[in-house]
Amino acid sequence: MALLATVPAVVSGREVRMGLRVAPKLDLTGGERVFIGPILLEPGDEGTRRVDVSAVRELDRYVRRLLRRQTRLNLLPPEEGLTPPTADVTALRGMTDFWRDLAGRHGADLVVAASVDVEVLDRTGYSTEKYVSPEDGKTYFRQVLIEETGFKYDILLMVFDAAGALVLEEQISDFQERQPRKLDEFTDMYEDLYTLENRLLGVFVPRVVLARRYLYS
Amino acid sequence: MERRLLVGVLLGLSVFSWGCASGSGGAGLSAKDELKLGYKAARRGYWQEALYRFELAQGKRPQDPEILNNLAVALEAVGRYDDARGVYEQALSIAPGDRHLRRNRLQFEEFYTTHVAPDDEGETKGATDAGSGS
Repeated sequence: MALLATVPAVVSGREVRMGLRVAPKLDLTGGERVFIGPILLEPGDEGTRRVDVSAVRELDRYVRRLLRRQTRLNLLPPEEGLTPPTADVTALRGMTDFWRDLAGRHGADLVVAASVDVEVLDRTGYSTEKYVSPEDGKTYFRQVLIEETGFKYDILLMVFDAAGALVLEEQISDFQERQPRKLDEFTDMYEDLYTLENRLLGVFVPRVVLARRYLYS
Repeated sequence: MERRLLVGVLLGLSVFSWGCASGSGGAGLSAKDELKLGYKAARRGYWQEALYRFELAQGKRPQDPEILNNLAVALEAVGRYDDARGVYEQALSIAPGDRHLRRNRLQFEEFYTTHVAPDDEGETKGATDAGSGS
């Protein structure tokens, strides 16, 4: 009897897989005509480097390919030699006339523009990191070896409507790890970037994120 | 003959009323039964049914952290994230030591900040803040 009293109650249940729905940030019908561009470069201290030029060109290609494959949006052809009136993103963002004219020239419902800042990282060292244990809920600090070689991106995505009004602005940061010897190769700079892809697609289309949760039975 | 007919009608009525009670989650089922039915529905991916069962179970045992845990998960599954957070918080206030509940809550918060409201995130954490150059 005493033994029975000390046996803890058996908790039953198990983890289940589920798809969590995430609504798109823009309320679209799905078939809008979208013009992509211009993709701008954030001015840096070191002047325009080769990596910057590649980052701009590759981002244009990447966004175009992603939206073509993963959405039903009607992508309009690019405009050769498109030059914005200013390189200052803050000023450009408020130039309603420029965006309205651009949309009007191409018959676009939306104009997707971006500004990109790329940093080439090549460093190694230890870092102290905060860690909340899921077991006991306490906060611990742990030493982590950081090996950072790759490209760090800061992308400001802007979406304008046909009237030239800014309807959405999204700041996206991501990091692509690269072998040190491949830091001067700029092809596929945006491949396999989970955060970038998710955030970018999340603006235009609904997504389902797979998750696991524990359920009691 | 009339008596047999009457018995038949009464039997039919009782079966019908039992069917209604169990089929619609009536007062005949205990909270534990509702929890089990909800769990089975969730395992098959019928999250609306699961949610309905967990809500019934919660109505019968409002302070049960296991029921609240399942209810929060079902609310997540149907996309009611704000409600899910409220239920997780309620459950954790009752059973702060429940490790499954805590893990679910952490995973929910991670999902929410990554996918639903990424704008609320702080600066990029970890490696980039390390400041350990070479």
